[in-house]
Amino acid sequence: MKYNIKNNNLDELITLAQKGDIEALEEIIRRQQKNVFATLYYLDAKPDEIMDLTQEILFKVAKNIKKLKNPRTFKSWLNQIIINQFYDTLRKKQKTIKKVCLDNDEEKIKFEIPDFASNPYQRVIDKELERAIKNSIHKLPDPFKIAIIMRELQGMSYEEIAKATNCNIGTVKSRIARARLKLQEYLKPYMS
Amino acid sequence: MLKGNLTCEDISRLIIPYIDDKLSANKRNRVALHLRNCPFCMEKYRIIKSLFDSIKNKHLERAKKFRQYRLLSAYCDNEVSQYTKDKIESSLALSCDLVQRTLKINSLRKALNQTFEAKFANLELGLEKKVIERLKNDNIIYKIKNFFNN
Repeated sequence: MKYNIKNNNLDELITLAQKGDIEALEEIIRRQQKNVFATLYYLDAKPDEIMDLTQEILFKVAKNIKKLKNPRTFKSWLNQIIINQFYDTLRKKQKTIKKVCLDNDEEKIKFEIPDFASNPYQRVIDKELERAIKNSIHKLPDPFKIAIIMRELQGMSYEEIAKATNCNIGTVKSRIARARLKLQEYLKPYMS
Repeated sequence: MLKGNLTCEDISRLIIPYIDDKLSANKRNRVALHLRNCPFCMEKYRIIKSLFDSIKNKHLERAKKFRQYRLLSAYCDNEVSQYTKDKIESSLALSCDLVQRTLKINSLRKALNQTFEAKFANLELGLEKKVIERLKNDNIIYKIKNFFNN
């Protein structure tokens, strides 16, 4: 009987992928790609690099999935890969000389994700809030930014965040609280 | 090395370490002796000490407030023990300010979550095929390399 891979939960898919099931691996990537992309977007990766970085991270996941010992730790493992890759690119960026694009074609570089909110007025408000949230998150120092993204975007527990960022739960608690305090301050005009 | 009785000039130099309790026992006693006998230096000491105390209190107050916020933030994430949860909930029943702060944290969380969801709801990346393709190519290259190495 042919089973439908889409009905399996993540743990089962990981176990299958570790046994060499390509379809399961493909499904894992299909489910996680948006997550990785969104995380990088809020981590303030360069807009034109997000897609490449996402692909690189997913490739690392696919290549190393057999090394993951416990499927339940997949989330923190994946996020560790994201964080490492993000810091790696930051480091590389610091080393390379800044290039200036001579083509004055800013439209191409501009990066927009379509927004399908129902009415135009609401759409404008949502867009404005989204921009404010994105800019506020970008303003946070890296450790706070990572902690709040892992919590709110990825829905990770404090313990998982501690594992992925290599620190203790107390630190995670403080970082999330600090990030929230700062975001509340930045977003004050938008919050009722 | 200070010899003999301390002058008012010595005191203005030693007054801050004296307040911070950074002096040796001998020096501390001599400063105290001078302060007892010199109303001018005593007044100066009082002013500086009260200034330092108010700064210290402000810091302590801020740290206390942050500890409270940190606890509320963890409570909103359901990341506290049952005991702490009960304790927070009984405090919430008594304090409007605390309730308001909790509500603010929750509305921030809601705004973030809704925005994240709406932003990426219709995003189609379709990277899975590319990644699998790349993985297959990578495997082929690995096998070829191995073949030639053997």
